[in-house]
Amino acid sequence: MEVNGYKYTTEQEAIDAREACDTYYGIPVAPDDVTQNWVEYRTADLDTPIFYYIKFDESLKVVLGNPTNFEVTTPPFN
Amino acid sequence: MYYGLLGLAGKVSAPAFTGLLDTYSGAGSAYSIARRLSSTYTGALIRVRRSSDNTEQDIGYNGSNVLDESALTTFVGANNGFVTKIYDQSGNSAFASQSTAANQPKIVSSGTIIKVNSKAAMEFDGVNDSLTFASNPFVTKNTYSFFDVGKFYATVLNFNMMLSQSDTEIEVRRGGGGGVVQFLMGGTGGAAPTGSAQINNLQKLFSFYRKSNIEAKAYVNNTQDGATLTPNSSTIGSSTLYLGSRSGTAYLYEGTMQEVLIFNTDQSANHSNINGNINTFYSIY
Repeated sequence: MEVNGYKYTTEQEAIDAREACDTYYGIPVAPDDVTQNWVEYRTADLDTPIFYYIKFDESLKVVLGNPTNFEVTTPPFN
Repeated sequence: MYYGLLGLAGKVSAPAFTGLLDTYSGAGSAYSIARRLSSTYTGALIRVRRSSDNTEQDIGYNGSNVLDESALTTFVGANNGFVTKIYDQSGNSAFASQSTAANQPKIVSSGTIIKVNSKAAMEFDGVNDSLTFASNPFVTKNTYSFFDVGKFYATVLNFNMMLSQSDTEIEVRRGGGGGVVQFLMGGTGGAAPTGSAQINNLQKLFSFYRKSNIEAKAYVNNTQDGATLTPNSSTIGSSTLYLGSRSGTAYLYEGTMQEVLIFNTDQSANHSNINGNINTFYSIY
């Protein structure tokens, strides 16, 4: 499956990207809010080597820059 | 003209409210974006994040026991509003929530409440929106019922999850073959009725029940969809249940949802009447 977004080699890079978005958008507003992150990263665990990625959303461009297209292996639909 | 009941102190009191759950007890979780479901439930219906400053607020019901739309639009203003949590009105605290802003379904768009057939609805974007159940009412059960008022948008014809625990237990989904709705009701070895109903962009009432190893049936708008199945006696496992996706990230639902009820008790005799109660409020069929 082709994904438009941001691809990271290590999980720490994905965590850093997530935190950059949280900081930019001021999330969480209050500690007990339901919303704890602006965006979440995913793990491409069917790919070798495993990598991490964040799907593109218009709100991310100002923080993470321009997205790219890349392939993520997904399980067959059952 | 109705003047209400005259109380002992001479005050006019409102007529007693009777919700769906007052008539049909035994729900494991019960959510409604649009209405109060039980006279014993006095909490909020939903929690909403507004886009202007990402502040969150609970939104409850008004004096007519429907979503307090005035409170919602006052809070969100001319901006967008997103559902962060839908509260469980069954009394079991089995709420469903989403802690990531980008994955929260929308309920207010540029100051206007999203509605289907004039009732408030949350809209899933088909990209990343999904809600996670705090607890799964199906777990360890082999007798249960499910009801969902929803509308599949036409742009995602295949692989689109309204409800999912896993591909071997509980799912209500748009599957392959051009977008037919499929019900996976557990205990059937993977067999599921495959509906042929035309569902694109239409508000529908999807429901099913399983009665242990006796029978399992699925319905669209209270009309049976597919064959009656004879399940085995196995019970449902303990994995997490999601609204709008499989496992939170895959086969994302594009469409709206307004009400989701899960009974983990035998409601087979009440199934049609529960559908009727829901239809009376939403005017679906």
